[in-house]
Amino acid sequence: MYRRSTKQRLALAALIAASATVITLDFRQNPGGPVRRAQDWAVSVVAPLQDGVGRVLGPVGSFLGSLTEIGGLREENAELRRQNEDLQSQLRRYPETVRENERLLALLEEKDWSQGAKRGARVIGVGPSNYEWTAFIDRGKAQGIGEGMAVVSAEGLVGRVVLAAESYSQVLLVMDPEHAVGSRLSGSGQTGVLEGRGEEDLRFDFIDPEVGIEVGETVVTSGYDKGIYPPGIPIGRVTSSRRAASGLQQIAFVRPFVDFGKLDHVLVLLESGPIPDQAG
Amino acid sequence: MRRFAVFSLVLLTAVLLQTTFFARYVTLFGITPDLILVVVIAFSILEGPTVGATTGFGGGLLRDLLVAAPKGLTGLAYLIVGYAIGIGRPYVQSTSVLVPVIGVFVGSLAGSALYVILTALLGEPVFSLARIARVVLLTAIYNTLLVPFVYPVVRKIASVYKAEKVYKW
Repeated sequence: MYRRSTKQRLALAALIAASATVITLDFRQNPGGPVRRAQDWAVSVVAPLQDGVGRVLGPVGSFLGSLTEIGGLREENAELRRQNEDLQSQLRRYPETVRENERLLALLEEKDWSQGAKRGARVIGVGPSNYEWTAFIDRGKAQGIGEGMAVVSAEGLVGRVVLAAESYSQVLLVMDPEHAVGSRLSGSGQTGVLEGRGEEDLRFDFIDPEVGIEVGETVVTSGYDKGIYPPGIPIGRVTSSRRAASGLQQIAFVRPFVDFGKLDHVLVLLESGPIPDQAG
Repeated sequence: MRRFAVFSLVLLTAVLLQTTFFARYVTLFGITPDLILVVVIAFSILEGPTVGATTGFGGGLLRDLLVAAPKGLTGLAYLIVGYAIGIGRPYVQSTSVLVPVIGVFVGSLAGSALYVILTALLGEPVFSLARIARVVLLTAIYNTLLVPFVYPVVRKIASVYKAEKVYKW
């Protein structure tokens, strides 16, 4: 009844061939390749527009966001009370911890991550997909930002820069499954790898089965991942843990400190990033 | 040519709204609707398989360039959905409002499922089947809820910039 015209078939074939070309080019990508240039171009064109649209829609979005939260307020209130008690008790131990930290850092000749040069940036948009988690910020190469640099907020670790265009950058968030970071449990000092799992809690692998893991324990970066992240950046809090099926390790689940839904201002650590010797 | 420029502008607007508004603020259970796919399906219902496939490819590719995943996969997935919906449309002899509603629901299920399959084939990290099913289903439901807002806008634009048979290029 409805015969396909040759023109339609040709258009379909041409578009499929074009997709296959893009997929192949990207798969065999070398830095500076055509797909990479297209990406730079897309970010440079879209980001300024995002910046503008975001300024208009941001307040509307925040308002809508707050509407959906009303139902959870009571629960959140109880949770905050509980947290407050926890924090009060932790606060009493704080001065002692600071002294200990200073002493240990001096021993290790390690630099405190919060001391180095930083660049403030604003989040202007986020990745469009349900399978990957990125954010766009309004600072780029021109402001000294490079790929691989760590991004933090006042709450803790946000992620790392994966694409730096001229005046905008894209940040891979810790909740993305491609994101893995060498981490340390603050209580036991156990190190392992923390991986993103989307909107679910992060997964902390390779914990010694003998080690006790406390719910609520803080997880920080260990600084062991080829120097991408400086050690000591807070990431999140343990929500649960279990023994792996093999029984040879434990797995903990960690809720990030950063509320990625409300991410607004971030800091890029300009002295972080892969160590040049190893990158080449 | 004007048609091409206007349709491109519609897609770019969808990408901007998706990245600054929907993906950022309109999330339920951590899942966001996919405005770009809704626009693509609306185009293919209204304008047929060729426009459906072209907008699917264009919108998908632009989306690809903004995600930290292999490039070209969304373009391929959305162009197939755009073409298939456009092919299927004339067989449904109805002008009911249910046409875009069902079209967007089915197209969104197919589009996001196809994308997941393609990424898995390229060796990207695979989520649990339960999560994939949840994302695919919720995306389709949220996308369907956008139809009353998006479809009339696309229909209006498509009717203003109709393909003119007289000037055949």
